[in-house]
Amino acid sequence: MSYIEIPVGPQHPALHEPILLRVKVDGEQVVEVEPVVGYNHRGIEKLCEVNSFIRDLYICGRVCGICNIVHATCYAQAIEEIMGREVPPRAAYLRVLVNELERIHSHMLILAVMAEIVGFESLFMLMMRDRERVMMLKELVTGNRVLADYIIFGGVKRDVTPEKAEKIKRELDYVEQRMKYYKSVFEEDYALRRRLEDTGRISAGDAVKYCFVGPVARGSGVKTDVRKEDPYAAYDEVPFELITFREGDSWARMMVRVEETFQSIAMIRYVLDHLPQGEIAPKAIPRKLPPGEAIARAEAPRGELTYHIVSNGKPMPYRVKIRTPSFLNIINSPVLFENAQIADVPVIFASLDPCISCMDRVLVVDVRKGKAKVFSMKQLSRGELRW
Amino acid sequence: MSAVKVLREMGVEVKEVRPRRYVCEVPREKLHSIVSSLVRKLDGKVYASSIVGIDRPEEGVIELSYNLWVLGECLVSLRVKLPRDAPEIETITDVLPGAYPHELEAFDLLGVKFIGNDKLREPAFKPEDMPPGTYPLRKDWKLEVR
Repeated sequence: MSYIEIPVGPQHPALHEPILLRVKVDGEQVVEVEPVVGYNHRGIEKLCEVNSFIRDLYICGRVCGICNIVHATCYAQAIEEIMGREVPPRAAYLRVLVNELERIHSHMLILAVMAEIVGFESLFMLMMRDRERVMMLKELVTGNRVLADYIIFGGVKRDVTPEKAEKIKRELDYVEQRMKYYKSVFEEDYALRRRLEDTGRISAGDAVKYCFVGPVARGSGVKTDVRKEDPYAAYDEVPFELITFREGDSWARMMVRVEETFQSIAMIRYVLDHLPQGEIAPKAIPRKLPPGEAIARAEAPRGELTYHIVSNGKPMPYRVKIRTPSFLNIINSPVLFENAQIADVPVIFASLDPCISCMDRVLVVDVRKGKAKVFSMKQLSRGELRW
Repeated sequence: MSAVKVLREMGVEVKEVRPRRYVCEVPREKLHSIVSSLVRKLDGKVYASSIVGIDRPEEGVIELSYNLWVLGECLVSLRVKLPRDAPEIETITDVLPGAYPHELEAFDLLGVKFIGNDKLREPAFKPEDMPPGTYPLRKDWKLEVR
């Protein structure tokens, strides 16, 4: 039987990031989807091996723009484990605060993008407007709107004053009220539900077998969340509910994110009310990395993030392995497209909250927008592409 | 049944590194049977969190660390050493299909062959102009730094 192959991407209709989906179709019916990756590789793992472990903190913070804090947190956790260092309680609470702020704006972003994909552009505009308030709060706490560089080995860089805490609470009241409205839209809007429901369905058993993580697994009813299962920072002290939905379709995955936003807001309020007194960072950063090995895990907005670091006692880590949630969620996604229609492809794909820069980070390929020129490793290392 | 109990029943030595982290050294031939019995006996509550390849040229081996997360319980890290000149191991994608991205990455960037996985291709993550047989995550592949 012959099929027609439609290339979706690399300039993607759903996301503004490069990935190619080779979609084989029979009429409107999708037969097979093959994701082709590698357009955005930057060689970060190798780069980490030739830079000192202190510089690597900043490199790892740049793996992903949206979830940079969780990358830095996870990397710092691994290094702290090798060094045998503890984080002071106040810093642990502040880490929860910034990580949850990041989760709110990341979830609001993908909810907005999903609204745009299904053709609900006014909802996209409104959500992006309200998301900006959260970005401002991130700037208030960390000093930067996007790339925070807030985490440091053994603590965090800035403290939260009572005035700032008041402002955060005030803004979050607004965001919560708006999110309640968006929740009702996702629950009640007929067109939105028709587009999302019953697309990309996966059962709980298959979700584990195919190694889906984060909201994708939780949307199928799998009770998995690093914050609960393997607590880090102060997540063992901050109460929150693990959100799961049983439907397992695109709608359930989006609703997991909606509900998690409310949980994050409640957690931030709890953190601000119960912030312990004390130091936020050690007086001096240690310059030596002892030999050792650590596997650190953290719950990024998109799911489980792991850093596996091996050190042989030199300033440069021997091996830094970054496994991002989108790496699993995107490359294992073909199973979700079984029995889908062509029009559902962007919806299913966006419901994974795919982050291409998270996934493609092992080697250097950079196809510059518009130019489509592939840079060689040599050119890159000479600094022809600076960041 | 707990994951550690399953491993001990199979005669695997389990070392606790810290709470919820277990490390086991495993011979290459036994890895597949260990992973499949973990998946079977724990009712499918296991997923492959990562497969980390570490090149150790001075020992002449490529070490693979199969980091499996047991839901709600612990992380089991199975360590396998493969000879560097012919790194080959049986695939685990027949029991855990979701391990495919990990195997693809180890194949593409470290040159580890997974017997039985016919979907591996090269280059997957590497640039297209990189000659086949170049494995950038190996230690003898140097990155030029200014």
